Amino acid sequence: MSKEAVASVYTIMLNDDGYRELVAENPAVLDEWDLTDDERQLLLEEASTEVSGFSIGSGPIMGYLSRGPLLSQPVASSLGIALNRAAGLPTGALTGPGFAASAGCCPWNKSFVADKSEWVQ
Amino acid sequence: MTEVAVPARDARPGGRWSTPSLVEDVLHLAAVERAVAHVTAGWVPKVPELDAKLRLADGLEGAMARAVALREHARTLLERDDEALRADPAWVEPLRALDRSADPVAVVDGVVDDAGAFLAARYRDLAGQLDPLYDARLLATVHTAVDALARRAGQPGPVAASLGAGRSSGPAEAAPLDALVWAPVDRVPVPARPAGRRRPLPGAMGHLRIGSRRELHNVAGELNENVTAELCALELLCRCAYEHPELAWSTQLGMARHAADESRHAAMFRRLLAERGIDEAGLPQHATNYELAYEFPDCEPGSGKELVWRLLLLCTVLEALAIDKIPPEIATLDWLDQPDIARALDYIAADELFHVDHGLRLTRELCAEHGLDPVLERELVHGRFFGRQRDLRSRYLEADPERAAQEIAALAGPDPDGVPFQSRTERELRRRVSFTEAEIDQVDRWGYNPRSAG
Repeated sequence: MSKEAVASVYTIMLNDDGYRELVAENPAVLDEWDLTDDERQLLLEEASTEVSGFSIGSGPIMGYLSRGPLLSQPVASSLGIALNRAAGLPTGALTGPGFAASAGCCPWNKSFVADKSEWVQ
Repeated sequence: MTEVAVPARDARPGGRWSTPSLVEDVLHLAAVERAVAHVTAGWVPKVPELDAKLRLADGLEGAMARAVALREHARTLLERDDEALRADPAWVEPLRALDRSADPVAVVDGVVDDAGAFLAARYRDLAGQLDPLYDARLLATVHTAVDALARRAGQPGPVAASLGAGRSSGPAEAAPLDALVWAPVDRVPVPARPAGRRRPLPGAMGHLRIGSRRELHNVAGELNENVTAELCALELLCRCAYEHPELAWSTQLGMARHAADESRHAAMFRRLLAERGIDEAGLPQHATNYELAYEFPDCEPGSGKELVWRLLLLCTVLEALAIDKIPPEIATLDWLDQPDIARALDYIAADELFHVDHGLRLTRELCAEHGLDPVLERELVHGRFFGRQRDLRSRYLEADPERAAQEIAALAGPDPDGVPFQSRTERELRRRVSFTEAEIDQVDRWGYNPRSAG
């Protein structure tokens, strides 16, 4: 269960910079979670690391979460959403003016053409 | 009691089996078929002309299925001694050399016609030597191979001659059969397409429907987009198979079957175009789904994680969304009196269930092997893929406000056909292909369909 707790705390940190800062400045806020000392240390390390863009999710927490049993699916999904949101990536279907109602969702006429020059090395 | 030496069974007059070199013959055929599948998978995205691309692709599943069947026949004769499943790399060296070619025409001819003719001849030779009773099961495989190859192979040429020479060199350098095919010789971030066909601007829609779906230009545009999507799926699967030869042969066979379906689907949409007298040479082309799903900044090129991301995206996001999107599409086509296209989609919808089912099983296995969480990784690759689409589209819209306004009006305007159908998250169909409730909730939350009741 404590791995779930680590994922949940990290998800909150990703969704709320204020909580991340709070953890970094006042580690006692982690007392309400069921964490081992090592997990607590990893979270403190993560909280004090400045990350952005591709670096999000490359810190010690994701390395820890990738070991051992899988997270429960709702917790895994919430963590993924938080990581994408923090990285500025979509968390659902593309919407808004100029985007089809189910833009790019599947092979049925909704894709936006790629810029192949971007991918040719 | 005096111990009597057990007679060597291979020294029996006529040999142990119905032919003196039966095991080696079967291992040889298995090796060549596996190598044919390998070259085919690597080259399908590199062949520009669509007829040739699909002709090459059409042989993939058959070659891999025969390779798997022959491997099992050999394993049976070897009394399940996996260590004895060995083959001489010289047997497949001509195909390895062909894989290093730069000429797509030479590769297609070399694999389909030339190697195919060689294999057909070898199978016929073997059939003539087998015992109809002892070897009944193997004979069934051999007869099926002869029939299949006779339908597509051409005349033997230099590849057949080299394969014949490689066989006669003997098994002195035998290596494990499962490790016989080679590491990829290249990467293919952009698949080949026919010369001379227009590619839309980056960020444009592959086809923007303006007017009724009944109008021929819209039918053409949408059928052509479907061809494009099927080609992209085919090509990405082929490269997944080729770039990861370490995957079990049974896994390769599943991917080959999926790829063969995509090839057939592309052919179905091309036939629907041709039946309407539409020349696809005048229609635009692109390879968006392939190009955006081939590699990611988050994944080391060629890594297990990259493979997982490709398959999660293709099989468990895009094709799973097709499970939701095709039923209203079929209803719409029937309603618009376009039954031939509706029927094609009915066949495709049935195939999609296998694609997603197989993709879910495979990605769960791969995630377990690589220490990845499938639900988390699906969420991440979904964001990365659609982040690219969003960025492309945003740049396109911002580059020309007048054009953007026209397209926004077309997308937001009333449907001239008044189609009354809309998609929903097909929870029951998704359950049948082994999505968990939490995974169904995941796609429901993405919002591609009106939220389901659960």
